[in-house]
Amino acid sequence: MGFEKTYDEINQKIKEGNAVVVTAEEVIDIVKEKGIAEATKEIDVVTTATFGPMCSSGAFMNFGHADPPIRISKIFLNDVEAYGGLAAVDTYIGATAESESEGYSYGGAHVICDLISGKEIELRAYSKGTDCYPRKEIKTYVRLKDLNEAYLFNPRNAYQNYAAAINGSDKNIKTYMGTLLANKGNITYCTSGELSPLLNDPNYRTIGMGTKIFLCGAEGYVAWNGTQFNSSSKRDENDIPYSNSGTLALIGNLKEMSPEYISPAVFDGYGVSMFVGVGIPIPILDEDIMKHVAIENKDIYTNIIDYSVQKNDKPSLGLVSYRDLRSGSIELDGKIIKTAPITSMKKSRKIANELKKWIQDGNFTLQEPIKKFSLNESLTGLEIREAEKDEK
Amino acid sequence: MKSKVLLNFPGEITNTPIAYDLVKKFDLKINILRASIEYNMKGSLLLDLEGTSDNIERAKKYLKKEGIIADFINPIIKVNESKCVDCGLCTSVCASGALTISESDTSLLFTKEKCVGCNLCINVCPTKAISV
Repeated sequence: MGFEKTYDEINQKIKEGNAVVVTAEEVIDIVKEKGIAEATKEIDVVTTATFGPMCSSGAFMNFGHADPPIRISKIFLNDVEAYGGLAAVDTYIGATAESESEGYSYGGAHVICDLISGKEIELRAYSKGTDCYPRKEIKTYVRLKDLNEAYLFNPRNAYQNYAAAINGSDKNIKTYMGTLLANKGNITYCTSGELSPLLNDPNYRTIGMGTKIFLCGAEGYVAWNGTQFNSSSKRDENDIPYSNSGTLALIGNLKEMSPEYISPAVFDGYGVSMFVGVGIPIPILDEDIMKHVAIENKDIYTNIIDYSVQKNDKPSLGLVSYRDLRSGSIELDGKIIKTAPITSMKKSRKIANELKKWIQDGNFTLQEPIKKFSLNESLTGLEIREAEKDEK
Repeated sequence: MKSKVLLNFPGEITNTPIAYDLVKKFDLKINILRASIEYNMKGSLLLDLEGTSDNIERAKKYLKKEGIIADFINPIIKVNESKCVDCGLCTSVCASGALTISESDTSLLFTKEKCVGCNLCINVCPTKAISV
């Protein structure tokens, strides 16, 4: 097994300001130069990051009580509907919710980012009125600093891998992967490849429930596995899945976030999403972990999926490496096709470096997961069927 | 002075050597970006023109006299750097290669000279950072 380190040993070095921290891009050349064994001894932490649109995101918040109080059952923030089915003044706003008046040019993601930027938000809410909560309507303005709690809680972020998108039809189509030009006119893809968190820890050895992370500029945590967690999907000899696989549910304090690392996203003809900046440190506990963080774009493959097929199960036109996708064009069936990213590599690198600095400065220690994710999870689809007759 | 222009030819003058005239008569440096002739002999020509502003003005009058509709493409896009997150999605629809992601530092690069003013990137940009 070779050289091994523990979380405690690494955290001790972090506190003393002696931890050796590099990003998942920087580690590649170090391993090439020194080999796995030597690099495992020298390096304590490798930082990974991504900054891409992640639709399954949103925020919980608590507004505090007005006088007389209201038990909110319908609520709008800057005219975007939030959830009214929680306790009196708790709500959850989803990133993809659209403005009642402006449509998808403004949505839940904009509300969340406006709050983070310190802007004032209009709160409008309704209730049936009860003996203990007599108020039936409220209209006021709030800022993030006025809220009791506000935290991002994203059910599905940081996909382990994601299929690249192409359009095999003869009409342009507008999708969450951008505008896909007719007749295989372009390809878009959406991961940070060799810098991406779960591609560097494919077997979830250090990224699990309770792992401490960088979330949009704040210290956050992995709360749970993400929804549609599909860890049993097909993998290559380096344990890298060929397509969408593991996902993470993430949580972090909105009040500590920075607009630098989170942004609303509007996809033409589709709707609202939110760019979420995630950074995850990987402790180099042994050579197996080092081997996995040394993965390169040329060895990470994804499927090219035809988004013009309006079915859940879309056909794959083949596999492509992130090195080729990143080159700006690929050849498919004899045709040169332009490739374009959706994940910002510039922001991803900035996050990986910022997290590296936090750890080097002794301000961020590593949290061992309190529960690890299973490698055997798979997905089920939604069957459309008649009701089963339950016995009453 | 440099300008981009889309020339639309009525069918009857598609055989006139317009590009030759622009060079010979008005001393313009031209770069043909796209040329096509349709079944009814209507044609279009997308050009970069470079020359003195005086000569470009004279060329405009000449084109008008010849019955050519010259659409000078001036509104070149602007990228608002405070809104741009350098995701690169705009490059997916930029056929002219004016918008690219820099290989060295992964920033979005805009090469004004290559922009043909198609404006497809404006709606595609998820952070609404591009405008004219």
